[in-house]
Amino acid sequence: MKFLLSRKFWEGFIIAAIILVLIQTFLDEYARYARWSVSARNWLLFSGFFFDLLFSVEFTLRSIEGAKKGSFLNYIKYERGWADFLSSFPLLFLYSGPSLFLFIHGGVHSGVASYAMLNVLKVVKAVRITRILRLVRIIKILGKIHNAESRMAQHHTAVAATTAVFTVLVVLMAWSGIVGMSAQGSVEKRAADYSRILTELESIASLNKLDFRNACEGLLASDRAVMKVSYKSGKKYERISADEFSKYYSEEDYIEVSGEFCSLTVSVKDIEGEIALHHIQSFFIIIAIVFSFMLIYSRHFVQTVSDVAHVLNSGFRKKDYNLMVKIRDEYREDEIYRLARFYNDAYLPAKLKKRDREKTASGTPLTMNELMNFGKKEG
Amino acid sequence: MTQMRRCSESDLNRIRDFVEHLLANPGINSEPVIIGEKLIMNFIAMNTPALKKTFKNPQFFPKLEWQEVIELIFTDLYNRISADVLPRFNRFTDTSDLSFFDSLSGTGVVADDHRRTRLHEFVQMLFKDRNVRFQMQPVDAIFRYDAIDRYITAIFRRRGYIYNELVRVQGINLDVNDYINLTKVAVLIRSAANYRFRKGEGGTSSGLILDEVPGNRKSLTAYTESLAGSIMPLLPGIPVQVISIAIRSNLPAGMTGNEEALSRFIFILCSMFRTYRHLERIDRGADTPEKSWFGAARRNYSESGYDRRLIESLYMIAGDNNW
Repeated sequence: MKFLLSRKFWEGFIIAAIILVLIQTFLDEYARYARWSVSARNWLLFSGFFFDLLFSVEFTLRSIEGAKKGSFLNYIKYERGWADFLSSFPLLFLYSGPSLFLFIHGGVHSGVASYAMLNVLKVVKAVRITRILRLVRIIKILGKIHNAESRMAQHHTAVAATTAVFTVLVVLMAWSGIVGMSAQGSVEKRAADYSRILTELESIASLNKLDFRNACEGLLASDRAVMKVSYKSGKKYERISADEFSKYYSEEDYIEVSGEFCSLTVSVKDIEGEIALHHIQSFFIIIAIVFSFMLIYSRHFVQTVSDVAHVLNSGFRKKDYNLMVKIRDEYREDEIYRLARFYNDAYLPAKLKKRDREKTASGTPLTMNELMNFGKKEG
Repeated sequence: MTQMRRCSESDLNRIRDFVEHLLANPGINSEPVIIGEKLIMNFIAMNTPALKKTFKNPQFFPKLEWQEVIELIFTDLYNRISADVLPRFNRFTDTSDLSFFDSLSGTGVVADDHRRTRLHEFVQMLFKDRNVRFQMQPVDAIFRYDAIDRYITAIFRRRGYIYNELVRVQGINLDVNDYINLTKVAVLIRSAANYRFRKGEGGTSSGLILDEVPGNRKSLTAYTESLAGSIMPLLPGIPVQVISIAIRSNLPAGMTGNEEALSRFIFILCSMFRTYRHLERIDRGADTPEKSWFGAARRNYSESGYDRRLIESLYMIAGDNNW
């Protein structure tokens, strides 16, 4: 019980949650790309909401704790509080919360669709890119992984990796805003395209006094994006059965386009898949950046800075520490190696000369008090 | 001896525990055993009046006289130190093939057993002397860490400056194993310069030890020659030239001749191992201990009495071999 209440347990729990949310984020995107069933994607939706809620609670608790100690700003600025914030409330309020709301209320295609619901869907689609903010949480792991003994190396690696990851995220989000890579823009464009096509087909059928269904169904059926054609007469063309459609198509996977003689159900899964693929690519870029910083940059930093600083620190402070700094020729003009050369060539020889002048074993580390300890122990 | 007979087994055990307690002190425990003994002796010398009173307390040694306690402590310390150090020296003196000395002396053949036995006795004699024992701390470290084997082998493999100095200029043309043994013998004998020989036992007619000889070239040369000659009868089968190399390895480079590279080499090794502390783990980013020592010695060579070119070469050897 004590362990469950301990800080160590909760830190471990949060790390485990971060690793799980990274897997969840990948699967969430992959599920869209690989066209998983709606139920599987709903599980991912629930889990995403759970994680966003969990991290929002964590951020709130840490903020309260920081405020109580008067170190809230310190938490935000230096303890990655900003990363905690970005990967919690914005996601909860802009993405996973609205998505869950849509799911609970049956979605915009259901009979209970309302103006408010449409707005929610617009928001969800427009800010889908914010899902990528979940990857910000990887930054939190950086601080926990002690891949080097040096605190300085851990700190610098984390700062460098954080800068790189955050820069990539900002560029991706900005690019999405500039180029319009969001689902919403593409879906709206598709809806407009099909609306125009439908209007033109209906015009052609009317002008030529043709039966719309006879004249156009073949053409519409040849388009693999058209899943269903519902005629005003009540007749229907369905590419797949209703059961299969409800199994694989959720609210966000299709659009309804209404015309004079019929309405079309048009799949937008390809758009979703393409965007998911971009997100997966970003996911791997960020993971690769983090690992390269942790494995390559931190090693380089340790070898060329913190190890040198450690030897210098020991040599300057400890009387019996007499090792030279190993100078790497390729970096010999770097500031720290210039200091190391001074230490090797001037400080250490002077230190050893001074030590050699002192008579070896001239004093004693023993004291009378210590002697009395023997008496007490024996007594 | 009469006094010693009064000691009970419990007194001896208590002395053993007491010495154990002193040696367990972190400041002593981290030092070589010979230095540890010296530090304990310093402590006793610095606190004699207080210790005299303390030892009379019931929890110490109330039944023993001060002199008895000190004798027992020193005897126990010696037993521990000799058990730790001497087996290494004895292993060398008792088992090595030293017959190559016959080819160097030009004074006939001496049975190797006899030569080794006398060398063994000579080393024991030196080691029994407390002051000489303290001077033998670097010798122990050199044997403990196989320094001579490592460096002579590397020198013979490289055949560079030091090889030329040791073999050609010094004029001792031996194979590598014999050269290692010769150097070890010289290292073992060198502390004789600090041994105060009793009359008729050997030593110089003046009865001085090296530290008491005026530090000028003439006096030192005369002293070392005289000492080498007087030791020679104690070490049959070991050429006086080798004994001289050993004794003169106590002198800084400036006091030796060009053809005395081996003395200068031993001087450097002993200086290094006087302060050498073995490290189980070397910090990343740091150079190895021996290379570091030679690196600093390259800067201090003139004040410390090292041969600069020998130091430079040894620095390269230590670096190349990660020592």
